[in-house]
Amino acid sequence: MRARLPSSTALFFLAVVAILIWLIAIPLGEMLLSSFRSGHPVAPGPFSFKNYRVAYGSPLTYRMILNTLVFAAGGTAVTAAIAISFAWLLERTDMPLRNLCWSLLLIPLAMPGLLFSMAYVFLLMPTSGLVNVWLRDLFSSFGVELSEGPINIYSLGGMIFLDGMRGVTTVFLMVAGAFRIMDPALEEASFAAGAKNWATLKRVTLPVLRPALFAALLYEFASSMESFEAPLILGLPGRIYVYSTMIYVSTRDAVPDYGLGAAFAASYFLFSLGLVYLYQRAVVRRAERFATVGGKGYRPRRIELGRWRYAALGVFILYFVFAVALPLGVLVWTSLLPAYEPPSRAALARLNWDNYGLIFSEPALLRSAWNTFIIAFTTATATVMLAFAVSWLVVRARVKGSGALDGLTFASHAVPGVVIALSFIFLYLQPPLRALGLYGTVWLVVLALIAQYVSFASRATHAAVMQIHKELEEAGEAAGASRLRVLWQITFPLIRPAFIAAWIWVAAHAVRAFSVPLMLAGRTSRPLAVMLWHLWDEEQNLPAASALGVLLIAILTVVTFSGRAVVARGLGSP
Amino acid sequence: MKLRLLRLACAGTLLALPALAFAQPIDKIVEGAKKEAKVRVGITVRWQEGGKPGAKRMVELFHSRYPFLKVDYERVGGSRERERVLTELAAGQISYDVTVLSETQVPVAAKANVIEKIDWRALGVPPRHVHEDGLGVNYRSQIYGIAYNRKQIPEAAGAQLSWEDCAAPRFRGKVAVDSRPRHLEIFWQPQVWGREKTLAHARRLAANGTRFEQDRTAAMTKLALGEYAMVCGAFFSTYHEQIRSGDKAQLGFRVAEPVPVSLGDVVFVPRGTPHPNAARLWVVWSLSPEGQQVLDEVEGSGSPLFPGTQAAALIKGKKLAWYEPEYRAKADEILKEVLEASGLPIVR
Repeated sequence: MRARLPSSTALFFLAVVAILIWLIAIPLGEMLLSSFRSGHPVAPGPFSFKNYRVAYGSPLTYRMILNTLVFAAGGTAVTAAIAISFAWLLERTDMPLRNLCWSLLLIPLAMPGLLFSMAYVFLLMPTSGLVNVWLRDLFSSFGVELSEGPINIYSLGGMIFLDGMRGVTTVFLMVAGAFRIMDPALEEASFAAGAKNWATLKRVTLPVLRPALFAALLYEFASSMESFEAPLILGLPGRIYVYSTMIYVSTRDAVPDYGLGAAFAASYFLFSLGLVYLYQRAVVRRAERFATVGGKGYRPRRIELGRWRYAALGVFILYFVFAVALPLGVLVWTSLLPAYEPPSRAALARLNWDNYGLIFSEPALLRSAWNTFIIAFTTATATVMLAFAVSWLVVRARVKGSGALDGLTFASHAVPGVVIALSFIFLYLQPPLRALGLYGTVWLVVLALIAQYVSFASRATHAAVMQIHKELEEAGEAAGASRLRVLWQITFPLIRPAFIAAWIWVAAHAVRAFSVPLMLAGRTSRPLAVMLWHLWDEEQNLPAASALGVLLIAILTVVTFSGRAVVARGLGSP
Repeated sequence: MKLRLLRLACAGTLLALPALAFAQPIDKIVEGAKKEAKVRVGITVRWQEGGKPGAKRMVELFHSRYPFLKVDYERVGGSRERERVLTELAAGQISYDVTVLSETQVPVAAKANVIEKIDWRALGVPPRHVHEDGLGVNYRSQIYGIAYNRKQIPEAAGAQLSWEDCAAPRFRGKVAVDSRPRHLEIFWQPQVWGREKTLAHARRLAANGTRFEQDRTAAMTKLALGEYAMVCGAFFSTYHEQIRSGDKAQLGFRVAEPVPVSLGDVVFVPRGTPHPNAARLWVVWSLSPEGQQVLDEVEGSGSPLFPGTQAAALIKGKKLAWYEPEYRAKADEILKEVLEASGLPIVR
């Protein structure tokens, strides 16, 4: 039943709506508007349905959607299996080295997607991939001669593998907090009734954590549907095409076909709204059923794995080798060479630090690093706070229109960064916003990135808020505390793990983001990611791009480890 | 005798007129540039690369020739940055006095009325470098060829490679092509292969398991590693970069006939720029023999129309296939046809 709104809540709701309209609805509206026009946004043509006829009148579109559904389902399944398993192992069991593993899980966030995919190409391309060469030598010693392979990364399996591995950290961050703060009473009841670990996990833990899991998988599925890096770098040479590749090839002219691209994006937008509707019906409307943190105190209990402890650690190590060690090794190797070549004695003689020298001799390096820090810190903080505000309104206050608010927040996922950037250029170069003088500054980049990342952050904070039983807040208010004080002293400490996990995710992505800063940053406000993009795409200097990528990974690893230490210190070590 | 002298005098005057006409506008422009004292240049050349000067060298040389002009240089690289420039201009912000767009962005810019129309021919820019309607000049060039791995294709065979060999069954699955195969766009023109022959070739490439690569450098790296035997339609500049930083012995480059040549990137002066004369001076200088020589030195993309450039040496004595302006203007449509024939998923 919807309660009458106190005026403060109504004002708060309006303020949040105004912010989201400013950040998301305007670029989204411009995108949808351009889908009905041909030509460039600066010189648009007449209104027509031509883009929709072209986009949806071709049977190719539906074949690609089907391919993409298979690809996304496969990628999400791989991600879910690994991420949820690790969340359970690290937060609920006595697996050894949990803290270290938790921190190591964050490292893939630091690795730019294009470099990650490229590293795997060098490892697994059919003829000269390092792993394939090694495997063929091994098979040859057993009398089996192969001319190429045995593994071909240019395949649907290769694409699913890469996409699945890339999504693990995101899903882990979305669900780990939920596993951590879950009241163990339900599991204890299950054990007391004689159920074993696996049965308890399947019948108690996972169902109770459904909101967090659903939110995470929903987000990950939507991300896989629009995934671009693996389909481009692996799918194009392998002639395996999905929706994003088709959009790229069809609209990637010297003058991008924004209208056609927007018509395609409209289906992502509708798809996103459909997912949000499902999420609302299945989870948000029944939020109380999923509250696992109530007024009773509890001490988290660790499930004992017995002899499986070290097997679990072994699985983690295997994941780490594939997700981090191998690709990072290729990047480090490449960064020390003038041009990539496989390891050999001759190559060892050519190792040098020239690419790092090139990076450090860049006059704008320090300024770019400072800009990166500002962008990452501000974007992450503002995004998570906005997401929390949305989550409170949607999940707790359940104000009229909260469904639409949630839809708008999630649908920002459907708006490409380049569209957000273009609409911001227009908005902030024209009166009245021109007077603010934001164009070309880091602050405009921050605003655009908030619009991009609030979608993810809101899924994480939704799940966290849902876990807190409202009786805790009601008790605070009954004792005379103001709503703000209740939020700060009761709610926030309980959701802090999810808050910080989301913060880390947004900060890492803001460091890696190049599409938006490339278009919005001025000469003095460019971050390191723009430098990386220049090296990779425009100068086609893979070794130097690898060097900068390695440096970024090192910096982000320190940042994420520090963030993780704050979480662990604040809540007691697991 | 008097009549003969009169005829000689007239002929001499007529011959001198263009030079005079050319000299006059330049003199006026120089005078105007002295008052402006500054030019903001935003084009594609890297400031430095691997410690070697790029645009830095261009700026130094220009400044030595016109010491009264301070050059404020910024690189405007790929398509996203050009989109930013175009959008800024349409919104009224003029960040550069000289900047760059792709050929197919020019009609959009013209429609948005952000380009200053200038008679570049009258300022001495070679006609082939001048964009139609005076909307800018093409200041760089690109030669396309076939890069090959010498371990898989010996030098003697490599020197004989033809474009048709790119679809030969003996190279099945061992050939890479850029995901935007510009050489096929050039072949599409009626005066080269024509539409039907080009599309048939694209279909044969597809049937032969040709791999499409989005990243030119990665394609060249894979060629050096032996993943491919050939990269067809390779940029000469990319090949040049690869052998400069890697193993020279591994790779060969065949300039097969007809040799696709394109003059890319349109440099123009935005309408309303505060330094119009300085901007003109930069453009005219960059299309002079001196300007093209230094561009060739820093980037290897000097025009084949200027003697002494690497491109001029490569194409000497060969049958050329120029990318003509009327077809460059519809490059996107031509490309879509070619990609569709190549088997890529394109909706149009």
